[in-house]
Amino acid sequence: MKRFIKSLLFFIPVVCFAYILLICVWGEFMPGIFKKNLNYFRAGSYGGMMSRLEEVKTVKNVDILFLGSSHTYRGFDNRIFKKAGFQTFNLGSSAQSPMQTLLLLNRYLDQLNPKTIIYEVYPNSFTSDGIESSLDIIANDKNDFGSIQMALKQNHIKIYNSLIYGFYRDFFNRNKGEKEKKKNGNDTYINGGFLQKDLSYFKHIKYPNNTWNLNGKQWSYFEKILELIKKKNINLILVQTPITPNLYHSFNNNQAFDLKMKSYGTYYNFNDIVSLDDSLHFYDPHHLNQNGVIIFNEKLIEKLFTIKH
Amino acid sequence: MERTEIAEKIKGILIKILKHENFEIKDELSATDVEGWDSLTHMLIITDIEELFGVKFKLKELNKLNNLGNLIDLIISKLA
Amino acid sequence: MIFNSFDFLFFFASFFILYWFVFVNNLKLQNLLILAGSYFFYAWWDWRFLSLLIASSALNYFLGIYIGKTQNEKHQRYLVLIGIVAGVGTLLFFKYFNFFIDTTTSIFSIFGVQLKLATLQLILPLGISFYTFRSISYLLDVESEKIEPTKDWIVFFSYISFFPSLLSGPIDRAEMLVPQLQKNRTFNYNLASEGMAQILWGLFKKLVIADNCAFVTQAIFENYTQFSASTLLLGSFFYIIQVYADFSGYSDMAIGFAKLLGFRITQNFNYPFFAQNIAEHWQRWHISLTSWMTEYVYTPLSFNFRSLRNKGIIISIIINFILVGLWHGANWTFVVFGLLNGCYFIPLILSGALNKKRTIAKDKLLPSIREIMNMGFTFSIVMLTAIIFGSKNMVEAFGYYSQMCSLSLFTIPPELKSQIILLMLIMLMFSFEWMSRDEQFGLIYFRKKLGRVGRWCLYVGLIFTIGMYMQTNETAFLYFKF
Repeated sequence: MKRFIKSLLFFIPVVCFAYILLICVWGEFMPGIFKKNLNYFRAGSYGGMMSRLEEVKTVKNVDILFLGSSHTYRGFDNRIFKKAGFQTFNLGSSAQSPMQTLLLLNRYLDQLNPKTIIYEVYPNSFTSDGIESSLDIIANDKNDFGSIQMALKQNHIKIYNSLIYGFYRDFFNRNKGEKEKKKNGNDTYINGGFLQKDLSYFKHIKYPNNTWNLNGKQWSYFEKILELIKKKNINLILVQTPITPNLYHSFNNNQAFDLKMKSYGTYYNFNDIVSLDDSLHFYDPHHLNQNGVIIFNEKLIEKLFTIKH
Repeated sequence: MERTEIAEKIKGILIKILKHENFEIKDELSATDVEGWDSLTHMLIITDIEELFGVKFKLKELNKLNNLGNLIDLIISKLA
Repeated sequence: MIFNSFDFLFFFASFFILYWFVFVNNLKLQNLLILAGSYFFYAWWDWRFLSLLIASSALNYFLGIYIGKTQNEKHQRYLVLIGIVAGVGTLLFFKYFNFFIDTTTSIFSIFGVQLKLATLQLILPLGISFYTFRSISYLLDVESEKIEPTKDWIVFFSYISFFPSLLSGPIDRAEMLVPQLQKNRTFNYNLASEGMAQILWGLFKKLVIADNCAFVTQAIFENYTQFSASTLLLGSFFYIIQVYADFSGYSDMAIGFAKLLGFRITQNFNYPFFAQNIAEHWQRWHISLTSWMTEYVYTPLSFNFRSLRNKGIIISIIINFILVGLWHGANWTFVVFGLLNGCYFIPLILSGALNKKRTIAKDKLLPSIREIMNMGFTFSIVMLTAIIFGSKNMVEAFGYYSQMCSLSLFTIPPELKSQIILLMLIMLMFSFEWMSRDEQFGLIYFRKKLGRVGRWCLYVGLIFTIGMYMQTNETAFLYFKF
């Protein structure tokens, strides 16, 4: 028995060490198809997160900080807000769920020191497992203790593998000098975090009847975020960005979600505020094209001014 | 009938059904030692033995057999 | 609790410590711990069905003792019958009740009678097929005086509910497990480390091979009308590999955990895909079930039909396999699956090919051309028959087959390219198992050949392969490269 325990106690650290080593070797030398559970993608993948996280480190004291999913970084155009006199930063990221929003706030809130936070809420982000978004942030930001905490909470092999590799990249400065192109395919990164899609149009489709699941695991993180913002005395506005009206009206419990959101504070559902067209103002079922962005942003700015006065 | 005589007759049946002679007839011989003597051929062998010696076995008796020696003993007890 | 979960890891680690450090010198307490641990393990899933397990154990415990006491063969028969009726009855009720109702209704509707019988939404008590079969073989073995009835209730109850094999087998016989429960167990380093290796091998088969295959086959079986014939063929290939890797992997884990506790339990798979014909395949597949059926169903049947010679064997085999099929669940697909497998024996029995058997590639590295052809042929039959096993009903199975009979069978499936890694991993699994084909599980050959450093490299490699290639279930990535 002694021998068994001794072997086991010796074996476990050896395995851990060898595993970490193998992950690093695999990440460095293996072609993509061999890396099923090692998902470390930077430049050109996801939604400009590499440029955004590079830029955020240089920004201080903004008027408005945007948070949320791709609806955020594709929906709030910093240039339009600047024209209206607002200094803004867009910290939205692909499939961002409250868990990752909290992580990003812990990292950047004090430095950005915003007067107002506009937090984009979409019913689906509360049911998401957040794996995709965590991978995005692990690959594109410098990792810290918060990353480890997040990994332990998610307890997912892809997160662990990518985080191990991420720490290795950070430690040996392997990402130094890497640059993301301003324009990637149809997407152009705009300073401030917005990602502009070349103008294209969507179509009218009929969707089957749907119901939002409002019992996701992420509500507790959401409440923690609100607590944090309240503690720092920052204005908070919850916003639901427009999706194609056909898709929106295929859901039968929009009002339940609205009610729930209103109970948390100032909340605008722009699906009800602006009237847009499935084809003219969108490029896919739930992302605005630039025409839509302009209409939506101007309406939002109007709202901001009415709040101010 | 002598044990050896019974053993020889059983050998003949085994060769006829299993179509090989790669086994040595002895008391300790068990079905697992003989290639092809499995659950599927077992009943064919048993039926041939029953006919040749003019005896009838019970399933319970068969279940208790461990080797060729047991089988020969059983046949002798039936013949007596 | 399934073996590949953190819940089980914590459970087993604490169990292991209590078992080997606290209760090690007291056999009675150690057995009591096994019993308590097994019930805890079972109750973790659903405590309500624990009472069924306890009731079944108690009934069979007393029946066993009475069968041993009475000398009257008739009384013995009745007592066994009570046990079988109770066990099979419970099994029928939970597993097959709705099946009978549905079938009866549809038979009556053929004659224009509309029956309105209520079907029940029953949850199947986990492991019931396994522990029922254990109890039945116990009673029959006591009756035929193969074993003595177990007097120690703790030993008997632990035998019925022994947690490594409680939920998914192997179906251990009393003669195998009871003596091991009755005598002191000492910690055996080699057995324990072999157990660890077997668990690792099982994890690899389950998490990497089976789960990845399942991901592909689920999509194909559910939407079979939308794929080319060659994709369906690929799907049936992945499906049989999935079933094998899943079940044999789980068995490997069960056997491995038992070894860590000092038990040797029944080997459940013996590399079925290296079989030379279908009979051999079934001797190597889910052995604890097939040998159970051979002993308690096929042998009595063939004994009674023995005067019919070959015909008697064929009848017995077919009945036997229909029951093997039905054991998997109440569905006509399983009946047909069993029937077909029974029929595959007919040419073997009639030609006498059954009786010529020899060890495959004995003392050689590679099989001969003839052996490869036999293996390939047997594998193909098994693979194609498994489509029925994997379909929801016979209509879908026929649909799958007819969709497969098209010229597009001779094209390269477009899905092949994305599954290259999986195919490589399957090859890896089979080459390991080929090397260890005369041993209990796929890692033994290299365990014996390699020194300590080599062995550890092998384990690390496997752990890494699991980490890098195991199937994961996260929300599908929406935005990546988009």
